[in-house]
Amino acid sequence: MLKLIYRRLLMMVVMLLGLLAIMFVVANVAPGDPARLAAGPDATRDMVETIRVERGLDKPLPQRFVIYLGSVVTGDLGTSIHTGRAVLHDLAIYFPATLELVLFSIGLAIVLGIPLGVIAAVNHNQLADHIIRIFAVSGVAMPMFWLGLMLQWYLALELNWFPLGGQLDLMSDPPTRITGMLTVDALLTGNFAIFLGAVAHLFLPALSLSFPALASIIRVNRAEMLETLNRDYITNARAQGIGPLRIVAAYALKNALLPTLAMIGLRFGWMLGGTVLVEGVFDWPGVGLYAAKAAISSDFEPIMAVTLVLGASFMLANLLIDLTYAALDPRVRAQV
Amino acid sequence: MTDVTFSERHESSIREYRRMAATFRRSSSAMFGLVIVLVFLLMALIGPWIAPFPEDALGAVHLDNKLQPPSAAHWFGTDEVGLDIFSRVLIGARVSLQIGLIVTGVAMLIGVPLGMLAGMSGGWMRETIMRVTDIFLSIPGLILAIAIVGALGPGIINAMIALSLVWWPGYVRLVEAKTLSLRNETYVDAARALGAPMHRILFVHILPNCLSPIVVKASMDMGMAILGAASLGFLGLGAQPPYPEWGAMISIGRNYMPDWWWYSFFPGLAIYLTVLGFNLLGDGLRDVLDPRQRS
Amino acid sequence: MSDPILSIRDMRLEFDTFDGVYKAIDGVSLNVAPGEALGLVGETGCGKSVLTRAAFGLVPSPPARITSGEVLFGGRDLLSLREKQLRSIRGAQVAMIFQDPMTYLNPVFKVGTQLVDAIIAQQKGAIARRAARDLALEMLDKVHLPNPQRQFDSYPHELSGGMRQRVLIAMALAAKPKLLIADEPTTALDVTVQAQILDLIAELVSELGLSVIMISHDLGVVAQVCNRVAVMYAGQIVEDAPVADIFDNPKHPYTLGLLKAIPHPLRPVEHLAGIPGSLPNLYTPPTGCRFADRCSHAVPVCTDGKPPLMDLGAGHRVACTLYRKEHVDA
Repeated sequence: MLKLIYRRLLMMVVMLLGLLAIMFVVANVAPGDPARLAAGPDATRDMVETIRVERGLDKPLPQRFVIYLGSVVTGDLGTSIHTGRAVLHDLAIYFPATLELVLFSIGLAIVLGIPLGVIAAVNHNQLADHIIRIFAVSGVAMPMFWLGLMLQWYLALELNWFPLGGQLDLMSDPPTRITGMLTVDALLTGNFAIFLGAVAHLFLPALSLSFPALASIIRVNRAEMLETLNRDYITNARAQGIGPLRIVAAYALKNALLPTLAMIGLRFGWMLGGTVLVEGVFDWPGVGLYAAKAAISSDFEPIMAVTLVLGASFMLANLLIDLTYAALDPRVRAQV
Repeated sequence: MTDVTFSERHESSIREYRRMAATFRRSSSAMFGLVIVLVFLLMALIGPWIAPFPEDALGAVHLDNKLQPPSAAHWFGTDEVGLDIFSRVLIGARVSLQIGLIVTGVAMLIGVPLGMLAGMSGGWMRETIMRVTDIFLSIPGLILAIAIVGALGPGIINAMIALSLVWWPGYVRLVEAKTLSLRNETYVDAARALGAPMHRILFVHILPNCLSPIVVKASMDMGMAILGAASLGFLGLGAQPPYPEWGAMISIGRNYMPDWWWYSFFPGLAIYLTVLGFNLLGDGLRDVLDPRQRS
Repeated sequence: MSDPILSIRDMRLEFDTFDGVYKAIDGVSLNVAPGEALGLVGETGCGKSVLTRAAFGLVPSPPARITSGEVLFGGRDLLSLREKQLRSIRGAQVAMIFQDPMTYLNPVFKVGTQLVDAIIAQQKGAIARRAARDLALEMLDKVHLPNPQRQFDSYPHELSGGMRQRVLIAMALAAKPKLLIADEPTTALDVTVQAQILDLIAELVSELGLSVIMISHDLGVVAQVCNRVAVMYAGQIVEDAPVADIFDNPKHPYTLGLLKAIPHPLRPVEHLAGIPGSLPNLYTPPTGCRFADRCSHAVPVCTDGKPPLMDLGAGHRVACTLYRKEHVDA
């Protein structure tokens, strides 16, 4: 098992290198002169050339890639033009907020998605099933940013149930920064009122972000439950007189969870990508918003860093999913 | 030789198509999807002629008419320079269709040949193609697209290039897997044993059998590519206002929430319904063409 | 003869399908006496599995629909019971083992967990987990599973087919049921393992004194365990007789056909007689004898109406026009 984890981590490093290479090529074959961009619009020709040499932009591409790799390994991810700070510093500020939002979203998708899928399957072709199915089929098509705007409009502005955006009310003092995730920090410092406020702020962005993933988790879990409930071992369990609750919640669900888990891993990518859209709508200070702003101003070093961080998160999440898979399925466990 | 009529000669395929059509018609969600897609195509084809204010698609200004709520004259209201949102949504269908077709088309043109090549060749060629594909798939597509647009600069053409560049790996995976399974079929072996050239094996035996899953994926991808382009438009990285692209319209409209809600509501609804239509159509097609692939 | 332990009377069952109403079971009556081992024999699709499963509420409805009949077991009509009451009968009083031991054990739970769960359910929770565990190990020993302690902690995929069937038998018999329904218990196994499992069933039946319904398409398998055989064809019982009678003195042309299809173990196979034709379309079943189409003895009357099950004496009953009083007399 440990060997598998080592191998996967090693592969992850290789994949990230590949990702960096692709990004590097994209950044450097694109039209536009990074030296001129960095020098600013008023720079003279000489100033641009000085910057070009200073930053090594006059060297051939492979050599520049090696230099870039060297600085990435030492933690130098460059400087952001639009914040004027080191990219690593920016990431340390923004990434915890994104992580908090994404974890909350995936939690929401699992906590809502799996039971709804089970309910639909158990009530196959009855009213509950039809309603859940329509929701699941249509949810995948929902543009997150639009859903976010509509939820914000109705639930926050009209009904006043949730705050409009941001991480906390302006009035309240943020807890001491420990992890950077407000809910966690609030709990760690024992500030329950701040915790509730932070959760209230999290809810709408998390719901928008998880909506398409939630829909496809429901869909897969429902289909898998339907199939599992028709399996022979369920007939046998019923023939032994085992009660319906245990049959559905243990005997069938544990089997149906396996393909659902694979879907969760896949949809985690939608959520990571969606942060770019949803964080903007809810003014959530995370790396998604950071990347979107950077992209508009062609500020490439932050974009590369965010891509790297989100790519690594996606790979790690899928490694975790695979490990959970092995823990749930003895047949897979036997092979690793 | 014969007086076999067309319908006799092709009897079995005709029956097969009839069966498919019947399966499709029985599924109300597939039919719903088909209707949405047909309406969308119709809008894309004749939108500029049926739009009440076709000149509002680009650049006109009627400031005296700005931010009117939905009414008989302006079904979806008007925007901040007085343009008719209904006309713009209608004409936006053409933009979206264009984006969907180009992105899906380019992705297929890159992905399908690479997939067949990887599936047929094996060795270092296959390894290279598949590992590059893996890298592309290891990062959320939207993030990669944003990075590419960030490098190329905002704009609808660059958005389409970026989306095409992140979309092809899915086709490589699909076609490679299918090719691998087909490669070991008896009839492909037999063709190879008889000395059939590679291109014949590819185009006669492999490609036609990959077609069903490709069609299903393409239908789904039409919707998802439109959604992707709208997302880039919303971020200000895709089509630029006043171009009548749905995502770009929402991007401006959100500044006028909530009092002028119709500005971003209707373009969003159009995106949602279009994507839904292509998804349902793809689902229905899968049940008909590729029943074993269901999951 | 004492009162039967299970009595199925005039059972009819239909499936509502897309292509119409499929009349799977048509007026079947069947008795099982205490301690009797009844073989239920017929081709795939004749309704033998559906009949026994439906009797104990294991066929999902819809699409299935029981249109008439009663199933008397322990003095109650099972068809009038609710699912909850049925559940207290299944497992505890009626045990079932199935065809493919590969698919009847849950792949993601340990064998022991599934056994203990089943035992607790069979005893309606009136047994402690520890006692259930002891009983499970005892049953694994009783079905001659080597190294029960280790198999108890194994997952199903770590066991061979024969071992899994032993586990399923242990599970079925743990509750000391009155009736065991064995649905093609050896079909999916290797021939040598088949014999072992059949021996085991025969041994346990005599040891525990339970009644058995053994479902099979193979008369040879049934002969090793059963003392009476009912032959089913297209949703009806066509012959019902003591096992020796079926082999020595078969009456129904269909039974004859089945017997001819068994290869003789000692003689070389020159030609193995199949029965020409296939099962009739049960969406629109023939009004007369359902076998008439394939029967070499068919006469015009055969298509006139359904032949009743007639008693020929000595517990031998047959549903065939050839044995009608008027024919026999003539």
